[in-house]
Amino acid sequence: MANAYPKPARRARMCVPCALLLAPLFAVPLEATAHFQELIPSTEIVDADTGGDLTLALTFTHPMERGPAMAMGEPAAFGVLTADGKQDLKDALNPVDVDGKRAYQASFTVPRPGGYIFYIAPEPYWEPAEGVMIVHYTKSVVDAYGAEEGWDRLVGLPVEIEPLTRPYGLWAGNVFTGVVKKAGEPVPFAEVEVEWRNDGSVEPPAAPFVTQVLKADANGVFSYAMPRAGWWGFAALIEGDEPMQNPDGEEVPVEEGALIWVRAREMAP
Amino acid sequence: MPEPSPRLVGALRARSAPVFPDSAHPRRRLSWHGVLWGCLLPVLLAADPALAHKLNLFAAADGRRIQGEVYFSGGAKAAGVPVLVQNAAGEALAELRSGADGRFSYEVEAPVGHRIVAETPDGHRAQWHIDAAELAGAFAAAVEGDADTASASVQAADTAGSSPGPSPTEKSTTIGFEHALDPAMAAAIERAVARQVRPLREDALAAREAVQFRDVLGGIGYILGLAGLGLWWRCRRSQAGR
Repeated sequence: MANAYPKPARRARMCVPCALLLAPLFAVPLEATAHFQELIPSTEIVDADTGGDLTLALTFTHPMERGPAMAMGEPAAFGVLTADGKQDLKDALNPVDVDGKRAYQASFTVPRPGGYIFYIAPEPYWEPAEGVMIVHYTKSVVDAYGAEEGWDRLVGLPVEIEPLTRPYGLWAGNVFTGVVKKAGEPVPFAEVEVEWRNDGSVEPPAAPFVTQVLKADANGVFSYAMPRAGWWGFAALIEGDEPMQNPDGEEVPVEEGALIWVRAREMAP
Repeated sequence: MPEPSPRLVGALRARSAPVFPDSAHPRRRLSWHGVLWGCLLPVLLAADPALAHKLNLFAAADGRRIQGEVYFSGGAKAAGVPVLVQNAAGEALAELRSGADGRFSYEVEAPVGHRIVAETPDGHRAQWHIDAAELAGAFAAAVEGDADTASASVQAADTAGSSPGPSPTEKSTTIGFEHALDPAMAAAIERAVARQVRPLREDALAAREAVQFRDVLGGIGYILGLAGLGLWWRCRRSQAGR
């Protein structure tokens, strides 16, 4: 029985449940952080079989670890770029709940053949663990009815990945190549993080497998072979020139991300 | 191992070492052949830059018209391509030709399924189906109406088919129905409703977020309270035991 133990030992035993109870409160800030702004269309290839109705899911999350999501503010810009120019789609945004955090969803009906480049400039996100404001300018490219044109058009985001590989119709195992650009100029040796949007079928064996890290070459060009079917996010991370005010009013550095999402499909499903 | 055919040898020679003035007569003839083809092939390919590309056709119902375009993968428009309009049974209804921008337009006669086929003289072919349902709205076909209005509108559609131009619709209710099903109108209504509902949804979401924070606090309270109760009970028992 408990009273068989001497007093100091009993006190030590009581500390254990207390520590266990308090542990979760301290554990949260220690988790690894590879944030990705997601912009995932219901399909990257619209044809007669899929029909023209698209749903776009916008979530700020950790794709490989399947969350947790972070709350998004109202995006500064959301739209689609076609051969006819940009079309503002902010009115189509609907707030939704992902992991109890605000995310967005939008519907779009593709009117005619062509390349559709969807883009978002999200509200800056304050990341206290890293002490930076994060702004992930993100895009995904959808081809409609076999037009296969205009996929390399630049939206003109402050930082942007220009695809050198056509960003749809990709097999698993294909190499994706792009140029990291800032204000239209290539960024030499830019750091690029790559994550696979986990559908629950992969458990990373160790932390370095969660986010693949590469660097662009002297011309800002990077390549990555996608080993598995699914959505792949490429995030070029560049420090912003100007500091930004965090919610406490302090001047803090800005992490500008240039993201593009592409989907690889299995050759023999 | 079989001997490589003389033709293949000739072709290979033609590529690696084109013409030797002192070479034997048959070999020389084959080599010239290779050179000729080597010169002609790029010219033939350059003649039609879209040769390597797939022909595509896209069409959509816009009221009583079918609007569409013919184009190649990669963005080039297919101009002057014959476009055949058929009904579901495969009977030809019209023969059109795509414009300089690859577009075409066809006035529908009846709300039935349509098949549109584009075929270039060199054998590129693409086709598209328009369901009867896509045209039904513009023809005010009685999706939910009673049998009388259905037959009336079909008759109206028939007269429209025989005489060009917009069909005379007598009933104002029919016109209203027609407008209600106009896809552009429906999309506009959807957008307007989404815009109006959005603040409500945002409020609901914010409220839910606030509730979740309160829930977490409450949960921690529960954990601490129950743990405290357990510890107090254990203390009491150990004191009673002593």
